[in-house]
Amino acid sequence: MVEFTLPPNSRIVKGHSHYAPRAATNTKTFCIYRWNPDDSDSPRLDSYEIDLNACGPMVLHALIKIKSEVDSTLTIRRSCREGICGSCAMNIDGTNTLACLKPISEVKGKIKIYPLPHMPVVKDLVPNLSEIYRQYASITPWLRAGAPPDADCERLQSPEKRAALDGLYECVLCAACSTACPSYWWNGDRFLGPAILLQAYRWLADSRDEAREERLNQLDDTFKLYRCHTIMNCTKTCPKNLNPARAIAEIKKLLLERV
Amino acid sequence: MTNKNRPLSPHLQVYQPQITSVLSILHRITGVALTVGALLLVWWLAAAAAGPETFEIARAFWVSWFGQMLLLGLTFALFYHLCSGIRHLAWDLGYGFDLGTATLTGWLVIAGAGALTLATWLYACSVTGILP
Amino acid sequence: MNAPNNGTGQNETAESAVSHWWRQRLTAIFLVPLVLWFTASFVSLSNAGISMVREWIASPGTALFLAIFMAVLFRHIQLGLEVVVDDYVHTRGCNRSTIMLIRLACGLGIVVAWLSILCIYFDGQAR
Repeated sequence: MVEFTLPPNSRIVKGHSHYAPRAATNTKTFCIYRWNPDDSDSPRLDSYEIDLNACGPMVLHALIKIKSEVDSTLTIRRSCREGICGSCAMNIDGTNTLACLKPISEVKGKIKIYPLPHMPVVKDLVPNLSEIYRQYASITPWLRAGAPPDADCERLQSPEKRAALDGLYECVLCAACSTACPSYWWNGDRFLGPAILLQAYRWLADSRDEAREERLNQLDDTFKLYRCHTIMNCTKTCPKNLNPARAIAEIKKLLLERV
Repeated sequence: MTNKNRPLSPHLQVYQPQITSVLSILHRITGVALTVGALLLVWWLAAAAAGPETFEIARAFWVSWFGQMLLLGLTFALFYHLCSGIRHLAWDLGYGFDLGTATLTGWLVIAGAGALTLATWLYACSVTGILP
Repeated sequence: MNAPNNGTGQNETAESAVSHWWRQRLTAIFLVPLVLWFTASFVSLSNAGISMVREWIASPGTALFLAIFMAVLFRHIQLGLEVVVDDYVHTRGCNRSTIMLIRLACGLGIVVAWLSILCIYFDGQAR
């Protein structure tokens, strides 16, 4: 039976509080999930009061400020700080998004920040994404085709056929959608999840790919694909405004055409 | 690597209920509830086949306070599952995936289910003579 | 290429996953008009005693549509509940036995409903 509650070692306890300098007039409190593999304590929620007048506008700015000025033990993933790399995906104010694209001003009151939901935590806000990468590899995310018709020329694609990839190729694989999906929470070991299924459709939709039948054979599976019940949390949360739910529906339509 | 003791990050506990996920789980809950309704329906049919005494027991149950509450709940469950099911069929055809559209159809499903429930009970009341 | 995993609920019939999904949709589509017709009829019988109810069921059109409705309804219930069980019940033995129980109960539901309808229909014809 699926566990809807957290296992004992994952229950969150109250943590430490850090306050802003007395002179600060415009402050905001960030409550951040902390867990350190080097001590055996339970995860805890530390609070950091930040002077917004001395901080950039995005949640990632605040996290970097905390790490560099308040508590250097805070561990986060981040790289591009502009929504391109997909590293800083986390659960902010109850939904998954990229910290670099989430304005602090959008959140009323305290800002609660957790790692991506229902994932093994490596440290603090860093989840272990190995399973998702393994699932990504399983859909063979590359062009599968024989020798090009003309060895001296690239594989040509009409503008219309290229347009079929719009809304698919932009995905940065941040995993915000998959970890927002209740079905992925309960069946993440077998269900591929929205992020990977969007990528699966990206290759199905590519006019140059020649492995469509094999790809569809692999996806005609109760768990890999059909754990998707069109809950739509994926589309609701995607920080790049993509539509994984629609991509999955398109896969289901392709499979139905073969019945 | 100390993989074994890694905690599981919080999920249901922290994820804010979304209109998408709430309506989805409601579709499932109403579906399961309607299973009970279907079994009661079989009981009603069997009672009608069995004879007046058995049918009277079934009838007494339906007109009881508990039976009426159950029927009201099942009526809403039925119309919610119906409206929501049509929304799902549209999605299966590839329509209605834009976030704005999906939110709108979500509210329409709730309003539709409420309106159909109300209309059905008004009709029932006029049939039974409670309402003229 | 991995061998197709058709899920715990569907190994025995060795059907593809898409056909399970499709039959759930197909039964849903048929249920839309059937459920509206049944609900309207059922509500109009709100005040009816057994004789009126039996008279309604005994007309050939009603008997036929009611029989179809009950069959499609329980098929839809079976397919839907199987999905729910596959979602939440992962222990293989528990998953299999729950699904067998669901299939048994749904089959039984159809049988009892059909017998009742037939019984009322032939009784009505005899009069």
